Amino acid sequence: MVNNNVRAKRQEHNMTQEDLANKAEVSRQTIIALEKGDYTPSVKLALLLARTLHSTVEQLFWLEDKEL
Amino acid sequence: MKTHWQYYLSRIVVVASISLIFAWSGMPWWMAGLVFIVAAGFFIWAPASGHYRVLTNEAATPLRLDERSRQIRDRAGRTAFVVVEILALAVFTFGQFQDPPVVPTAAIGIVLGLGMFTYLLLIQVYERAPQRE
Repeated sequence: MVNNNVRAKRQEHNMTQEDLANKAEVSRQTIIALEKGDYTPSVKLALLLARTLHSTVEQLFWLEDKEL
Repeated sequence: MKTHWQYYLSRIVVVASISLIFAWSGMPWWMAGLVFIVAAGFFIWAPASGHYRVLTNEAATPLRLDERSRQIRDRAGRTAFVVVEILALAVFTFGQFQDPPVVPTAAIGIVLGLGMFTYLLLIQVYERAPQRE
Protein backbone atom coordinates (compact mmCIF):
# COMPACT_ATOMS: atom_id res chain seq x y z
CA MET A 1 0.00 0.00 0.00
CA VAL A 2 1.17 3.53 -0.78
CA ASN A 3 1.11 5.94 2.17
CA ASN A 4 1.17 9.69 1.81
CA ASN A 5 1.32 12.91 3.76
CA VAL A 6 -0.52 15.08 1.28
CA ARG A 7 -2.83 16.42 3.99
CA ALA A 8 0.04 17.56 6.22
CA LYS A 9 1.89 19.20 3.33
CA ARG A 10 -1.29 20.90 2.15
CA GLN A 11 -1.94 22.27 5.62
CA GLU A 12 1.69 23.45 5.83
CA HIS A 13 0.97 25.59 2.78
CA ASN A 14 -2.38 26.81 4.20
CA MET A 15 -4.25 25.40 1.25
CA THR A 16 -7.78 24.05 1.20
CA GLN A 17 -8.59 20.81 -0.57
CA GLU A 18 -10.27 22.88 -3.28
CA ASP A 19 -7.14 25.05 -3.72
CA LEU A 20 -4.96 21.97 -4.11
CA ALA A 21 -7.46 20.33 -6.47
CA ASN A 22 -7.50 23.41 -8.70
CA LYS A 23 -3.71 23.69 -8.77
CA ALA A 24 -3.17 19.98 -9.42
CA GLU A 25 -5.99 19.98 -12.01
CA VAL A 26 -8.08 17.28 -10.36
CA SER A 27 -11.44 17.18 -8.62
CA ARG A 28 -11.87 17.85 -4.90
CA GLN A 29 -13.11 14.26 -4.43
CA THR A 30 -9.77 12.97 -5.73
CA ILE A 31 -7.87 15.00 -3.12
CA ILE A 32 -10.25 13.71 -0.42
CA ALA A 33 -9.69 10.09 -1.56
CA LEU A 34 -5.92 10.65 -1.73
CA GLU A 35 -5.71 12.10 1.77
CA LYS A 36 -7.74 9.20 3.15
CA GLY A 37 -5.32 6.79 1.47
CA ASP A 38 -8.16 5.44 -0.68
CA TYR A 39 -6.57 6.33 -3.99
CA THR A 40 -3.13 5.70 -5.44
CA PRO A 41 -2.39 8.46 -7.96
CA SER A 42 -0.74 8.13 -11.35
CA VAL A 43 2.89 9.17 -11.72
CA LYS A 44 1.72 12.34 -13.48
CA LEU A 45 -0.60 13.32 -10.64
CA ALA A 46 2.06 12.51 -8.03
CA LEU A 47 4.50 14.79 -9.86
CA LEU A 48 1.89 17.55 -10.15
CA LEU A 49 1.11 17.32 -6.44
CA ALA A 50 4.80 17.37 -5.55
CA ARG A 51 5.33 20.48 -7.67
CA THR A 52 2.25 22.19 -6.24
CA LEU A 53 3.30 21.42 -2.66
CA HIS A 54 6.98 22.37 -3.26
CA SER A 55 8.03 18.88 -2.34
CA THR A 56 9.35 15.70 -3.93
CA VAL A 57 7.32 12.62 -4.80
CA GLU A 58 9.34 10.61 -2.25
CA GLN A 59 8.46 13.10 0.48
CA LEU A 60 4.77 12.87 -0.38
CA PHE A 61 4.40 9.15 -1.10
CA TRP A 62 6.10 6.04 0.20
CA LEU A 63 5.54 2.29 0.27
CA GLU A 64 4.82 0.40 3.47
CA ASP A 65 7.95 -1.37 4.78
CA LYS A 66 6.61 -4.86 3.98
CA GLU A 67 6.42 -3.92 0.29
CA LEU A 68 10.04 -2.76 0.07
CA MET B 1 -17.35 27.07 -4.03
CA LYS B 2 -16.49 29.97 -6.28
CA THR B 3 -19.32 31.59 -8.21
CA HIS B 4 -19.23 30.79 -11.91
CA TRP B 5 -22.22 32.85 -13.05
CA GLN B 6 -21.40 32.47 -16.75
CA TYR B 7 -21.42 28.70 -16.31
CA TYR B 8 -24.79 28.66 -14.53
CA LEU B 9 -26.40 31.14 -16.94
CA SER B 10 -25.20 29.31 -20.07
CA ARG B 11 -26.27 25.90 -18.76
CA ILE B 12 -29.75 27.13 -17.77
CA VAL B 13 -30.21 28.76 -21.20
CA VAL B 14 -29.10 25.57 -23.01
CA VAL B 15 -31.23 23.27 -20.86
CA ALA B 16 -34.29 25.55 -21.17
CA SER B 17 -33.85 25.71 -24.95
CA ILE B 18 -33.61 21.93 -25.27
CA SER B 19 -36.66 21.42 -23.03
CA LEU B 20 -38.67 23.90 -25.15
CA ILE B 21 -37.63 22.09 -28.35
CA PHE B 22 -38.76 18.80 -26.78
CA ALA B 23 -42.11 20.35 -25.80
CA TRP B 24 -42.70 21.93 -29.23
CA SER B 25 -41.84 18.68 -30.97
CA GLY B 26 -44.59 16.75 -29.24
CA MET B 27 -43.25 15.75 -25.83
CA PRO B 28 -45.82 16.37 -23.04
CA TRP B 29 -45.15 19.67 -21.23
CA TRP B 30 -44.83 17.97 -17.86
CA MET B 31 -42.15 15.65 -19.26
CA ALA B 32 -40.25 18.54 -20.86
CA GLY B 33 -40.46 20.31 -17.50
CA LEU B 34 -39.07 17.21 -15.81
CA VAL B 35 -36.19 17.10 -18.29
CA PHE B 36 -35.47 20.76 -17.48
CA ILE B 37 -35.54 20.18 -13.70
CA VAL B 38 -33.32 17.07 -13.83
CA ALA B 39 -30.78 18.56 -16.27
CA ALA B 40 -30.67 21.97 -14.56
CA GLY B 41 -30.38 20.21 -11.19
CA PHE B 42 -27.39 18.25 -12.45
CA PHE B 43 -25.62 21.35 -13.75
CA ILE B 44 -26.24 23.21 -10.47
CA TRP B 45 -25.08 20.23 -8.39
CA ALA B 46 -22.03 19.26 -10.46
CA PRO B 47 -19.58 22.10 -9.59
CA ALA B 48 -20.45 21.96 -5.89
CA SER B 49 -20.16 18.18 -5.72
CA GLY B 50 -16.39 18.13 -6.08
CA HIS B 51 -16.61 15.32 -8.63
CA TYR B 52 -15.72 17.57 -11.56
CA ARG B 53 -13.14 20.17 -12.44
CA VAL B 54 -14.85 23.36 -13.63
CA LEU B 55 -12.94 25.15 -16.38
CA THR B 56 -14.69 28.48 -16.74
CA ASN B 57 -12.59 29.45 -19.76
CA GLU B 58 -14.05 26.47 -21.66
CA ALA B 59 -17.49 27.81 -22.49
CA ALA B 60 -18.86 24.74 -24.27
CA THR B 61 -17.58 21.97 -22.01
CA PRO B 62 -16.61 23.43 -18.63
CA LEU B 63 -17.10 20.21 -16.64
CA ARG B 64 -14.14 17.82 -16.83
CA LEU B 65 -13.46 14.44 -15.29
CA ASP B 66 -10.04 13.82 -13.79
CA GLU B 67 -8.04 10.57 -13.94
CA ARG B 68 -9.77 8.99 -10.92
CA SER B 69 -13.28 9.81 -12.18
CA ARG B 70 -12.41 8.50 -15.64
CA GLN B 71 -11.08 5.25 -14.15
CA ILE B 72 -14.31 4.86 -12.15
CA ARG B 73 -16.52 5.46 -15.19
CA ASP B 74 -14.43 3.15 -17.39
CA ARG B 75 -14.71 0.38 -14.81
CA ALA B 76 -18.45 0.91 -14.34
CA GLY B 77 -18.94 1.04 -18.13
CA ARG B 78 -17.11 -2.24 -18.69
CA THR B 79 -19.14 -4.00 -16.00
CA ALA B 80 -22.44 -2.55 -17.25
CA PHE B 81 -21.55 -3.68 -20.78
CA VAL B 82 -21.02 -7.25 -19.56
CA VAL B 83 -24.33 -7.10 -17.66
CA VAL B 84 -26.15 -5.97 -20.84
CA GLU B 85 -24.47 -8.72 -22.88
CA ILE B 86 -25.47 -11.43 -20.40
CA LEU B 87 -29.06 -10.18 -20.09
CA ALA B 88 -29.43 -9.81 -23.86
CA LEU B 89 -28.12 -13.34 -24.36
CA ALA B 90 -30.53 -14.65 -21.71
CA VAL B 91 -33.50 -12.86 -23.34
CA PHE B 92 -32.52 -14.08 -26.80
CA THR B 93 -32.06 -17.66 -25.56
CA PHE B 94 -35.43 -17.51 -23.76
CA GLY B 95 -37.04 -16.36 -27.02
CA GLN B 96 -35.56 -19.27 -28.96
CA PHE B 97 -37.24 -21.78 -26.63
CA GLN B 98 -40.71 -20.34 -27.31
CA ASP B 99 -43.01 -21.98 -29.84
CA PRO B 100 -42.70 -20.42 -32.37
CA PRO B 101 -39.28 -18.89 -31.58
CA VAL B 102 -39.44 -15.12 -31.07
CA VAL B 103 -36.98 -12.25 -30.70
CA PRO B 104 -38.44 -10.30 -27.77
CA THR B 105 -37.58 -6.81 -29.03
CA ALA B 106 -39.64 -5.16 -26.27
CA ALA B 107 -37.27 -6.66 -23.69
CA ILE B 108 -34.25 -4.99 -25.30
CA GLY B 109 -35.36 -1.61 -23.91
CA ILE B 110 -35.58 -3.11 -20.42
CA VAL B 111 -32.14 -4.71 -20.82
CA LEU B 112 -30.61 -1.39 -21.92
CA GLY B 113 -32.37 0.37 -19.03
CA LEU B 114 -30.94 -2.18 -16.58
CA GLY B 115 -27.51 -1.64 -18.13
CA MET B 116 -27.79 2.12 -17.61
CA PHE B 117 -29.00 1.59 -14.03
CA THR B 118 -26.06 -0.76 -13.38
CA TYR B 119 -23.64 1.84 -14.78
CA LEU B 120 -25.00 4.67 -12.60
CA LEU B 121 -25.17 2.43 -9.52
CA LEU B 122 -21.59 1.19 -9.96
CA ILE B 123 -20.29 4.76 -10.32
CA GLN B 124 -21.73 5.49 -6.87
CA VAL B 125 -20.31 2.23 -5.44
CA TYR B 126 -16.83 2.77 -6.92
CA GLU B 127 -16.77 6.43 -5.83
CA ARG B 128 -17.03 5.23 -2.24
CA ALA B 129 -14.74 2.23 -2.54
CA PRO B 130 -10.97 2.52 -2.01
CA GLN B 131 -8.87 2.23 -5.19
CA ARG B 132 -5.53 1.29 -3.74
CA GLU B 133 -2.71 -0.43 -5.57
